[in-house]
Amino acid sequence: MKNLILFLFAVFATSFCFSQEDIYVLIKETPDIKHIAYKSDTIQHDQYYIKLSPQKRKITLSIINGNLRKTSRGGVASRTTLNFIYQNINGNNNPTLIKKDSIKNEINYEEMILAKDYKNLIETLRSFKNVYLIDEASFFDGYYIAKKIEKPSFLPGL
Amino acid sequence: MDFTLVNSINNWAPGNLETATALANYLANCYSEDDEDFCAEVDFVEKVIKDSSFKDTNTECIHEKMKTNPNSIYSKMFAHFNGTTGKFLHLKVGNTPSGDWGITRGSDSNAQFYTITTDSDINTNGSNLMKYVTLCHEMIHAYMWSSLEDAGLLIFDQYGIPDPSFDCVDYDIPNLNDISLEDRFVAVICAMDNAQVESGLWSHELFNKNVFEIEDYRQALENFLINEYDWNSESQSFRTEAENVFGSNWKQEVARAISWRGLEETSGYLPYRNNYDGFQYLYIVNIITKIENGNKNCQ
Repeated sequence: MKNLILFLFAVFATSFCFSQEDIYVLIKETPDIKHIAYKSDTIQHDQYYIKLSPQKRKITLSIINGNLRKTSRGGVASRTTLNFIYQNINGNNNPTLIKKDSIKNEINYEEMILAKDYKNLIETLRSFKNVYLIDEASFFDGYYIAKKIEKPSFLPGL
Repeated sequence: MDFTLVNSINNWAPGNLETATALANYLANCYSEDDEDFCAEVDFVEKVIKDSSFKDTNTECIHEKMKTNPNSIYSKMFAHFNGTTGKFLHLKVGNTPSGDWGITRGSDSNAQFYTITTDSDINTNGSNLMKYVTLCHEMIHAYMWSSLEDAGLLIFDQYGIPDPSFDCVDYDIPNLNDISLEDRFVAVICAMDNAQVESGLWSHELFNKNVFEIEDYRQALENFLINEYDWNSESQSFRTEAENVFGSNWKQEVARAISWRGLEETSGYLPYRNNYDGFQYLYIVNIITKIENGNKNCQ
């Protein structure tokens, strides 16, 4: 009985302690995510600029000489962009395979856009020990390719 | 209207009652409460409005250092806002949109008021290099917009966000060599507009357009950092790492990488960084982390 209690405690403690171990951010190809890749013999570097507040061009309508004229332009208001970096030097951070069904904590691009407070989004992501980025296009036979990225941050605007 | 204030301000811009009145109105609108913690200091010597949030901060300390050389690009741009021609600079420290190091806003007033706000976190925890690039980058915005406003090419909305005042429809791009500087701005902005350049990027794209005779704004910022920043104030490990990566030319390469801060989404950025390889490439793409760990002590 004592062993059973210890076992249950261990399971509980493990699941509690590691509940914030890994989170997976799922992205897919969209004009609002820019992926810049660099690869050499020893370095693989992927950078993702993920725009959270896509700014739509505003259209001004006017009539010139009886013809409808549409002018579109945007201001310079700040846009919130995430800056995710994956870095693998001499194989120190190789991509891993993760079974889709085994992912416990995940968030996708559409959900990140909807976050009420982007600072809270960053803080939440940072509260996990490991943040993995998954390109949904990598899905094959029940598995994704996951890349462990560096501490999530904004691309600070100026 | 506080005529005592107007008369006092009039000493700043002698004989320019319109400017003095505009400044008095601006101050009355910004600081409506009679509270010492909610006020600004108008420096009639330096001719700048310093918010109480800016006074005696690390950011003010860096600002003063950046003005040491009167011939530097920062000093020259700062002097542009001396109030005598109806251009005013308002310096603040405060909250900015998520993660931004600094922002600049104009004003829909008849006189030109430009507010530069350095983010509170950058003020408190940011390195000196972060403050250098923030202040100089924002000063360039203010200077650029002021030049465009002077030329009648820019208007500001109620939030101080600029928008070109001209219509690009049916605009044929002329030969840039045949037209004035003002018309070049029109041509460049319309070219971006026609190309459906992403909304909001035009102002940063202009950083890479020649305006200071033969150099562009970004190049001016790079040169400013090379010549005016005290690189010896950085730690030995910072300097050694940079020298190991870039060799004897490390100051220029680090200054160049820093000068691209805030311009990462412009058309010129990727061609710049793609010129590098291996650990030089890694240093450049990780420039934010590199300077975050720089010297934070301003004396």
